[in-house]
Formats: sequence, structure tokens, C-alpha cells
Amino acid sequence: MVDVSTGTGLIAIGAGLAVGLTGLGAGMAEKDVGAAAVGAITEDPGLFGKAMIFMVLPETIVIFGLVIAILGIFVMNV
Amino acid sequence: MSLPESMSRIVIVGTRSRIDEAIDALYSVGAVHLIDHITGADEGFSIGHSRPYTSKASERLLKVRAMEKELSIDKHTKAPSVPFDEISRKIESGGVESVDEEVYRVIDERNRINQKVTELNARKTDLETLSVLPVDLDLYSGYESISVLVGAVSGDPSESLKALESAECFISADRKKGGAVAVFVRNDDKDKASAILSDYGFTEMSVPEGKGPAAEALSETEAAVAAAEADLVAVGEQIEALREKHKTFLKAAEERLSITVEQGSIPLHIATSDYSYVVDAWVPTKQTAAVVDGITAVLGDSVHMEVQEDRGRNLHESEEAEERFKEAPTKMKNGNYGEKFEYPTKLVSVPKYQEIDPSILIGIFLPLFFGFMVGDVGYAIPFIILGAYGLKVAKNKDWRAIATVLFFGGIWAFLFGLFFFGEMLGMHFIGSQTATSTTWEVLLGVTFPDWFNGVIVGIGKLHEVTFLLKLSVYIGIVHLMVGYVCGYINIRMQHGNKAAFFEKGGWIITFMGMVLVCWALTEILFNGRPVEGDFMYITLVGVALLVAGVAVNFKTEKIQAILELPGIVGNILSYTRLAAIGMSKAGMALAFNYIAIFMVADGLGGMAGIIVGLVVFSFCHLMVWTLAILSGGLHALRLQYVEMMSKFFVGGGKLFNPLAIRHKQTKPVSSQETVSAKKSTTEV
Amino acid sequence: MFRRSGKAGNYAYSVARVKAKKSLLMKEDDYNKMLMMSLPEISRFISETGYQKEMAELAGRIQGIDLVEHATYSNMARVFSSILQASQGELYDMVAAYLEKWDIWNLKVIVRGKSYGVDAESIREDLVPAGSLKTESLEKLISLESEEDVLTSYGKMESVNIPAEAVAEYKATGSLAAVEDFLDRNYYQKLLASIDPSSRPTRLFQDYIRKEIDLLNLQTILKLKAEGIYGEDVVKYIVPGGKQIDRKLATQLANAESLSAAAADLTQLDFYEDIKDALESETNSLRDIVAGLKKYEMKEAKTFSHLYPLSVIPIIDYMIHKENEVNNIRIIARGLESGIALETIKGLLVI
Repeated sequence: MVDVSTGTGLIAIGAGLAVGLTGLGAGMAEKDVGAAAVGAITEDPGLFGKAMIFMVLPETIVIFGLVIAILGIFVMNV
Repeated sequence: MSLPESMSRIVIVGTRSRIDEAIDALYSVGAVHLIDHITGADEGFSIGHSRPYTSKASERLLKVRAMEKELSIDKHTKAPSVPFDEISRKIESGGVESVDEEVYRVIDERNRINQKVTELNARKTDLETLSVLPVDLDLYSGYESISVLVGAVSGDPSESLKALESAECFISADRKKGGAVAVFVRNDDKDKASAILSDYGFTEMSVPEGKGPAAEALSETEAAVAAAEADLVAVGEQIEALREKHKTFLKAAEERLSITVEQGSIPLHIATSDYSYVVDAWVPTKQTAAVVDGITAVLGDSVHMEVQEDRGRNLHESEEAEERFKEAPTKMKNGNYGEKFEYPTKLVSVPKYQEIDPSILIGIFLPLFFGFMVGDVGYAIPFIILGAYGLKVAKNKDWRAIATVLFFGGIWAFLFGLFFFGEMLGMHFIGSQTATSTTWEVLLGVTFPDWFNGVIVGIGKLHEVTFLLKLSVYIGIVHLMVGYVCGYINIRMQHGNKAAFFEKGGWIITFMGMVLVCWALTEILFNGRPVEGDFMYITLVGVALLVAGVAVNFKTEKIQAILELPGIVGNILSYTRLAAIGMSKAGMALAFNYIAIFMVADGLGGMAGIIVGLVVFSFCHLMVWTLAILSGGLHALRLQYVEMMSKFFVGGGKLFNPLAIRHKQTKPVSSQETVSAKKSTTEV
Repeated sequence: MFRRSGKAGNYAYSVARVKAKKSLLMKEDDYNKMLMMSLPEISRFISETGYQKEMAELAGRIQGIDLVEHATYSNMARVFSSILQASQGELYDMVAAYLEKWDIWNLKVIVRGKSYGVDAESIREDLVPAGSLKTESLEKLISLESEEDVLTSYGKMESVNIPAEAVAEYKATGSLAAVEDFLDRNYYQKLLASIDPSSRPTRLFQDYIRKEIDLLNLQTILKLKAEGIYGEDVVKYIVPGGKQIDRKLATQLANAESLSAAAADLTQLDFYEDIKDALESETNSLRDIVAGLKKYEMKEAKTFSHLYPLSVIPIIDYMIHKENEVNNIRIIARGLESGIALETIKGLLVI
């Protein structure tokens, strides 16, 4: 058993929530975008670039979540 | 930041009787991008009929493509190329028709056998059902007053059928699995019998012709199926032989005929009247003289050419032009290095004639970002090797593009990995061991020389988190600024300074204000810096810029000017992925190293420990490396596409596509195709 | 939030595919070019704009006009079937129900072909196996002896009971009108039933189909009027479920002595503007009116598909445009084959 303070534990939970929930959100957003992108690429592979732009738009939110998590764990913890 | 090649619009007018020579001339100069004539654009002119030889060539081309499909020859099939005049001669002497006959003889044979196999199999299934009944095949038919009901049932109808008087029933059925039934009844009772049977899922079948017991007929049919299938194999071999025999001819003929058809269809794109033709075309400005000379050399004084305009980048010029002359084609011009990154640009869209081609910017930032995110010597070296190998052997343009990024990105990753992070496979070169991580110095038991120590900065990806995040944001600010400035240049070029200021200048000011305000806010909130002195002035300048920028934008964008503000912050923060992805890689590497070195190698101990540890180590790092391609590559690309290019790139241009003969399956001959030769090739 | 209903359609995927397909449809310029070509060139031209597969399959055996006609129809059938296969859930149900109109079409082709004694190969050329009856079932129908047999086994295959009177009428007069009317009714009934009007996009689709019924009814009325048939005889052919033309209006229109007398009643309809010119012109030709209606239908589909991009409507919109493209190509090919003046052919196209 690692001995951690309550504060550290809360930070860890917060970091987990930040990554997990943003991932969930991005996943839900990307569901339709991805389906449409695959559909468009099936018909015309030349649309790959445009499809990718739309595809990755929602995923920025995960990066934000990841950054918050990293800040929480490595910066606030010290 | 290069612009597409300058274009000039020329018009070529000639006598219609020499149109074939004109087509040859247009192809021979190789720098003429046709502008389609639109019927009704000029009084007295309309698009012309395609040349007479095109009809026959089209017919042959369709035949050739149909044969290629039957023989499964596609664009991946390799075949040697054939001299141009040789293939022309072959086609002219009826080559396509004779091959067509030969191929279809075999194909028809195959289809006939296939048909036979299907029929025999159907017969076989029927006979299998019947073979359980003790009735000879010829006894099922030929009665006048008796009806016969034969078929499969899904249950056992014996009990119910007893209700029928004077009916002869042959049943071989299981209550659960079902089976076959044959009922011989008087014609009057037929409906009654079918009613009973239908309760048992009766499906009537027609009894196959034949004599004797069904079982005998079945074995005969089985033999026939086997024979037919053997025939099918033999025909398959014949088809394979035909494929080998004719693939060279067919591939070359397809190319040759496509060229003929394309050339013969030129009149469909140009204006013709009873006696003359008019060709409107785009030509790269610097090649105009060469084009004029080239065409004059062929057609002499039966042609008149004139340069109509040298198209500038100002959009007013384009808007004043006639509809079909509005858009000049884009010939991307990026030099040796930038050219390699035209592919990612085209993935989004072809740049317009009047805008900056972002290829060179992608060429600078894409490998840089990729390298920064990977930032590890151990991963960089395989990237460089793989990229260099790909550039050497890959033909496919997708693979070439990937190899390009891997190669140049790998070089950056190596530089960052060595000098900036001082890291290889997730471990620093220098330093001392801690509870969870080690360094190469400790692991290998060596001490690196002092000068090496000197050149390495050695930033810990998981230690100097704040610094790396800040650095990412600064990189982002520079990158975004480049995007904004390009946007300004574009609008300035297209509409002049004033429009550029109101459309993009406002955003640049807003952006600068936003950066300063955000910086000030972080200083105040996180570092508790008091607002005074220089810092206060900087903050005030930031607020002033922000307000001024929004005010400028409000004129053109209305409420959007305010709604977009969080978007700017989002854009900037989006660059934190540069650090975040590097950290996630480092985190994974750290965990794997801990498992491999501390848990496995040290835990097991001895030689076995080292070997197992090494295996785990290699496997895990291979995984990180593969993920690095995906996340590093895609995120680096995304930052170009979404964050930077959306600030200035519009796209939607059309590519400069000059008339030219592109040889792949045919070899050019010194005395290139002449009009007379083409005519005779296709004369019926 | 996490429930994945089995009924939900995969709109994003299907619509994206259809949109990409739509961008490949022919433009006016392409038709202009095709008018200047010979038949083999048209075949080659369309083989490079989406009809590639069919051309490669058929060009080895047939040529000329037969090649164009056969290839266009089998291409249309393949494209429609592939759309259907790509759809799921309620979307699948709606598209499948919509595509059943091709079953009726195929039946008509087979019955007419048989009554004129056309050989099986020529019948096959005009089939569009995009509905629920696939090639094997259609082959079975072709192989049947008499037209009545065709009608009966069609009824069995589709599990509809074609009324005996309708078959009897066909036997007596050789007119398929009664059968056709019955099948149309049945088709629209099933189609409207397949639409769950609980969401706005599907309600829009329902609206659209009901407008289509209006157009069909108006065409029937006009056609019969041209043949001099009035009153009750017309009303019995009216397919119920129309949006604007209800029974009362239909009766009024049917009872009107002439087109000009009916025009007053037509002014209240949405699509009056689109057929006004054709109605008021001297010639009063049915063809122009029908072309006007067709254009209105395409315009409607377009507006609808912009309103709700993630619904069944863009898919229907594409199918209408594709069908129109195929018809245009066939008109051009047939026109060129029989040497009709280019201007006349162009007038027949719906662009």
C-alpha cells in the first residue's frame, strides 16, 4: 500500500476523470463524423484529407483533458 | 510561401480542315491547358463533333477493357511496354478484333460449362431428395387420371395422408428433420392432398427426367458434375494462358486507344464553326513564346495565335472575366524540397491560383512537429532508415508521402532526441538512477565524455512539464501567426490592403492582444504577480489590442468577432498536444522500462533475466514506436490542416493539366505519331 | 445516452456516400458533349464516369444502343442496391420500401414484353433489378408462359393479391391500367406505412412521398383527360394519400371538361408555377406538363435534402437524380440512333 495523502488521491481521481470524460465526449462526437468520413472515402479516396480534418476536430478536447491531467499530476503534486 | 505559376490565356484560331494537325501540335508542346468551350458563349460557334476515327477507337477501347476484365488484367498487372508505332500497326491490322474472338471463344466456353455445372447441381439436389424414395424416375409421370405430388416436407405427413382413400403414398420422412414424399392420387383428390401436405411445409419439385431408380441417376449426375468441373479447370488454365499471351498487347492497346480517343475528342472541348476552330487555353506565362513557336512550326500560317491576358492574382481581374475564363489553373511551384509536401496539401484541396501554396510551410512544420513529439534518438533512427528506404523504393504516392514525413521527421526527432531531450528509448543518456528510472550511463556502466555532457540540454519530458507546455504554446503562437500573416498576404493580393486589414488584419491584432492578455492572466492568477510597472503597461497594451482587434472585426464579422474569441484560445492550447503526446510516449516508455529492467531483468536476475528483459524491452518499445507513427504523424498533420491552414487556405483550385501523351505501356518513338498515321490507324 | 437502438439508421455514413456519388453525376455540359458523339463514344464516355463496371462486363458481347441501354439500367440497379445494402435500421426499411417501385416497373416490362412477343434478351435489357425481386426471381417470371401466369406468380412473390377483376380487365382489353393502379396504391400504402412520422426528417419524407402521389395522380388525370375519359372512370384510378390533391379536388379535376377548365383548380397547388407555361401554351402538350412536374419533383427533393442533411431525403434525392441521368443518357442514345435532330433531343432532356 502506497502511502498518499487525500489531496494526492483527489488529484489522481481528477486526472482520471479529466482524461476519461473528455475521451467519452470526443468518442460520442466522432461517432457520426467517423461514419460519414468512412462513407465519403469509400466513394472517393481523394476526400481523405478533408475527411481527416473533420474527423480529428473533436479530439482536441481529449488533449485538453490530458494536459489538465498532466498538470494535475506533475505540477500541482510537487 | 510560393505562389502557383503565373498563367496567360491564349487563343488559337485556325482552319478546320487542318484540325488533326492542330491537335497534334497542341499535344506536342505539352503546356496547353484547354478551356472548355460552352455552347452559346460565342455567336456562330458551338462545340464540334469528335473526330470520325474516335468512334471506331472507342468501340475497340471498350472491347479491350472488357477483355482485360475477363482476363483479370488490371493496373497492377505488369507487362513490358511496346513501341508506339508497333502497337498502332497491330491495332490497325485488326489486332483487337482477332484477340477478341480468341478470348471470347474461351470465355463463352467457360460460361457454358458454368451454366452446365449449375444445372447439374440443381439436378443433383433434386435427385438426392428423391433417392430415398423407392420409385423409378420414369414412373413419376405419364398418367392421365392420376396426379403426382412430389417434393420435400419438413415433418412426417404419413398419419395425415391416411385420410386419403385410394392414394399411393411413398414417404421417407422423419418427424423432426422432414424428408421426401411422393403421393399418387386421383385427379379429383389432388387439392385435398396438397392441402394436407402444405401443413407439413411441402415444397413441390419437378421430377428430373430419366429412367430407373433415382439413386442410379444420382451417381450418374455426380460423375457428370465431376467431369464438368474438370473441364472448368482446363478452361481456367486456357484463360490463364490467354492472359499471359495477350496482356502486353491489351495493356498497350488500351493506352494507345485511350490516347486516340482523347485526341479525337478535342473538338468537344473547343469552339468550331463551319470553317474554323477556336481554342482557348491557359499556358504558363514563361512558356508562352515556346508554345507559340511550337504550334507555328507545325501549322505555319494556317493558324493565328494571340495572348489574351497575363492573369494577375487580383480577384477583381477574375471576376470581370467571362465565366469560363474566371478560374486560372494552378500549377504548383515549390522547388525540390517543397514539392515533396504537395501531396498533403492536395489531400485537403488544390490551392487556388490566387493564394499561397502551403506546401512549403507544411514541409517546414510537419517534420518539425513530428520530430518534437517523438523526440527520442532510439525511435528516430528506425524512422530515418525506414523513410530513406521508402523514398528509394516506393512508387505509390501515398507511401512516398508517408516515407517523406518519416525521413525528415526522423531527422528532427534525432536532433531533438539527442540535443534537447538527451534521451534514447525513454532513458536519459546522463544522470543517476532513481527508484523507477535509470539512465544509459548507469545501465551500460560507462561515463560519457565531458563534451557530450556539454551539448546535451537534457530536458526531462516528465519533469519539466510546465516548461514543455509553455514551449508548446510558444511554438503554437509562432505557427498560428504564420497562418494569420499568410491570410493577410492572400487577401492583400486578391483585394488590396484595405480589404486585407479589415478581413485578416483585425484578426492579427485580436490574436496578439489575446496572447498578451492570456499571458498576463496566467501571471496574475498562477504567480500572483502584482499589476504594476512594465507588467501593467504590457497588460494594458494587450487589452487595448484585443479591443481594437474586435472593433475592426466587428465591422465585417458582426457578433462572430466576439464568439470566435474562445476559439483563438482553443487554437493556442491545441498546441499543448506537442508536449502532451511527447509526455504520453515518455510515460509509456518509462513504465515499460521499469517493467523490463527493474521488474523482469533485476527481478529474475542472471542471464535469464537479461534475456527475458531484453525481449520484453524490444516488444514494448516496438509498440511505442508504432504508436508514435500514428499519433505523432496524425497530430502533426492536424496542426497544419486545422490550426494553421484554416487561417488562410481556401483551396478549390483546379490543377494545371496540359495536353500531353503520357507513356506507360507504350514507348515513344523518335518520329512521333503523325496525323496521317493516326488516320490510317483507325480508318475502317 | 448509451443505448444503441437497433432501429436507428446509419444516416451519417449512407448520406456521405450518397453525397459523394452525387458529385459524380453528369452536368449540362456533359450532356452537350454527348450530343456531339457517336454511340460507341457515348459508351466509352459514360464508362469513364461511373458506368465502368457494367461497360466492362457488357461491352464484349453487345454493342451500340443495346449496350448503352443495358449498361445504364444495370448500373442504376447496382447503385441503388449498393445504397440499400449500406443502409441499416429504419433507413434500410424506408429505402427498401421506396425501391419497391422497381418491382412494379419490372413487372410492367415483362408483361408488356411478353404481350408484344419480345424475346427474353430484350426484356432483360429493360429490367432494373433494384427492388425486392432480384435477378433470379425476374428470370423465373420471364420464363413463364403467359402474362396471367406472370401476374399470378408476381403476386405470390410479393405477397399481394392482384384482384381478379384487374387481371380480367387486362385479359379483355390488354390494358395494364387497373393492375398498375392496384400495384401503385399498394406500393404507396406500404411506403407510407414504413415511415415512422415521429421525427421531423421522416415526417418531411412522408410529405415528400405524399407530394409524389399528387404528381402521380395529376398525371393520371391529365393522361386520361387527353384520352377523353372523365368523371368516375378517372377517380377510381386516384391513389389515396396525396397531400394537396384530395378526393374532392381530384373529382373536380376529373370532371372538368378540358385542361383549361381544370387550370383554375390547379392554381392553388404548389407546383402550379412549374407547369403554368406548359398548361397555357397552345399545344398544351402532356409531355411538357410531365417534364414540368419532373423538374418540380427534383427541385422539391433538393430543398428537402438541404433542410435535413442527416435524413433519408438526400438519399431519395440522389436516387431521383440518378434515375433522371440514366433516362437522359438513354434519350440521347436513342435519339442519336434514330437520327433525330440534336435540338429536338436536347428538348427532351430533363436537366
